[in-house]
Amino acid sequence: MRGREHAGPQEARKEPQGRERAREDMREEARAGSGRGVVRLLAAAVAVMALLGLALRPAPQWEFAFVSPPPAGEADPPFFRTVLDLRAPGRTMHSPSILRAAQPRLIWFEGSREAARDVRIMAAELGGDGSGPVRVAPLLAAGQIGGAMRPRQAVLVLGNTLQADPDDSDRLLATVLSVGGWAAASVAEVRLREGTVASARKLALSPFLNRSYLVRNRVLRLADGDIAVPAYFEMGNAFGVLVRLDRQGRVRASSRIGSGKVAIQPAVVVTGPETAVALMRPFDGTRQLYRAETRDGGRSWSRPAPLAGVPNPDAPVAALRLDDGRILMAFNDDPRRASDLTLAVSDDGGRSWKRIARLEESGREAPAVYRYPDLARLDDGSFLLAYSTFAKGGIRAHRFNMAWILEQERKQGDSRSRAER
Amino acid sequence: MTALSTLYEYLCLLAVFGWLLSRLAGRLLPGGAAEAAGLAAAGVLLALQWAVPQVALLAAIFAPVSGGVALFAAADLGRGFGLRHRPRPAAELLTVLAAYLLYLAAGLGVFAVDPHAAGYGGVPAAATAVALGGYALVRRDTLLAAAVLLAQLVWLADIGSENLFDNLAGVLLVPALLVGLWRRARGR
Repeated sequence: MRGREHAGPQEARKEPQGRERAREDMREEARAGSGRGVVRLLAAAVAVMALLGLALRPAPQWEFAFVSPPPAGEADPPFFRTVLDLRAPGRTMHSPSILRAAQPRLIWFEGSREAARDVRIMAAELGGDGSGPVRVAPLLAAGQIGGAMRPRQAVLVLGNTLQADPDDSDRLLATVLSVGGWAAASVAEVRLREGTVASARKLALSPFLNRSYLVRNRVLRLADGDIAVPAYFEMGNAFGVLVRLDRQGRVRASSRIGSGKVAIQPAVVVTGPETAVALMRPFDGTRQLYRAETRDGGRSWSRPAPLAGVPNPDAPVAALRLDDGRILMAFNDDPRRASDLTLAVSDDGGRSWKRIARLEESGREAPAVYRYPDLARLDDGSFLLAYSTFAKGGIRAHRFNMAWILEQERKQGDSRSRAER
Repeated sequence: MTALSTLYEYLCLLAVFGWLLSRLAGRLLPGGAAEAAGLAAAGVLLALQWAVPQVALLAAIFAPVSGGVALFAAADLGRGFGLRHRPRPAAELLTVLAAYLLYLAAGLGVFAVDPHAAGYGGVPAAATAVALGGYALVRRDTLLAAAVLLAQLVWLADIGSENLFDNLAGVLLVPALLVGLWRRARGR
């Protein structure tokens, strides 16, 4: 008390200020203490969630569903029929894809030109026996896909579209553009219900604004029910990717087929539970078909290498496994122009090929440009082959059976023997 | 889950668009008012998304927005309303920027390895989350720990991107880090 009595008026003012500062320091200390507690709690929660993540999102088991193809019908009479031949002069019709169902359908993109805003996905219903078309009608428009996304997204252009689930032709994967060219494309999973878009969402495939992934070739079933989607990247670099989707259509893993700027649009043919071959369009000016293989169910791939003796005019191929283990491929057998469409078979996992039939060649019609084949096996064991004609100005499809393939092989063998004699 | 996912994506877009617009508004308005104006403008734009095609275009470009980035954007917006948090050192910002640019380059196929693929699950995803959580603990960084936890939660709930790394970070991180570095360089 005495001290205070002797204190001057200035010191008397300082004392409450000092007390206030001390209180503020204590409050700061308390805040820091509680902050430490909060951060400890959050870090512990992160560790728990990481363990939960290991349980809920483990590294997936890679194994293909290796099923025998349907009966070949080798003893049936051979047949080869053209089931669709459409042309739209002055318009673009391109990138046909076969939807497998009880009543198979063909889809393709069509508009005033490729990547124009008026491009729609068209569908042609074929008869149950592959004959047809029964009906041709628009299936999808860009606005429908963007409008079905939540939040709504601008989807301006549609490209290559295909069946997302081998057992459900109402689930599609569409290449979509919101800005820029194909290098800025994304892949959207689209679900249809009674002919309308029920839902749509983009697959998260790239860290760079989810850009530059596209699809072209047929999807594959994996042993656990997941789906493997052959996709590709083409922004500066160009490589293939095998994307793994679960039953809900969400990406669960991906593995690259090559790196740098090499080859795109892998057509993947399963040759065993853990083995498959990818046949790829060159993107490095090589003008030869590329081949890569996996021995661990698609988890990793060999470096794609050009195939000697198989030229390629910078165009995708289609391929599937025959029931005797060989591979059937539809491709352009020319390093400069896609002016032919040829079928070939391989009995050594796609390393070497024997040409069996030339379905199109230059000189028959103009412009003789045949690209983007798709090849599928229908439920009755017959084959359906579709491709674009007239330099992206038409769509043509043929149906044939195993007996026809064997007949073509015999004919080729005979002509080779004659040539050798 | 679809409704929750939609709500989450809208909130992320609101935070990020609000942050971007508030930075623009900050040239004309004082702190607090700029953040409020930015958030209000973002809210109106999102509400009018069917009538304003540019919103759908922005959503198409940036979606799925990273929850982690949205949380940092929200925290930065909070500064305008008096929320205090410790500024990050320039060295940390530079390290994150360099690491993220390398990660983006790998995603574009510049390197043979694909770190983005590790974000779909398994040990690498879990290890990354634990490492970031540990760093947040050492640095006493509540915001970082919360961002990692949010990313893990939405990832496991199948909300937003199916890749943990997309939920942790996004391309918008690059301009945000550059702004942060610019502030440090100017002593702010």
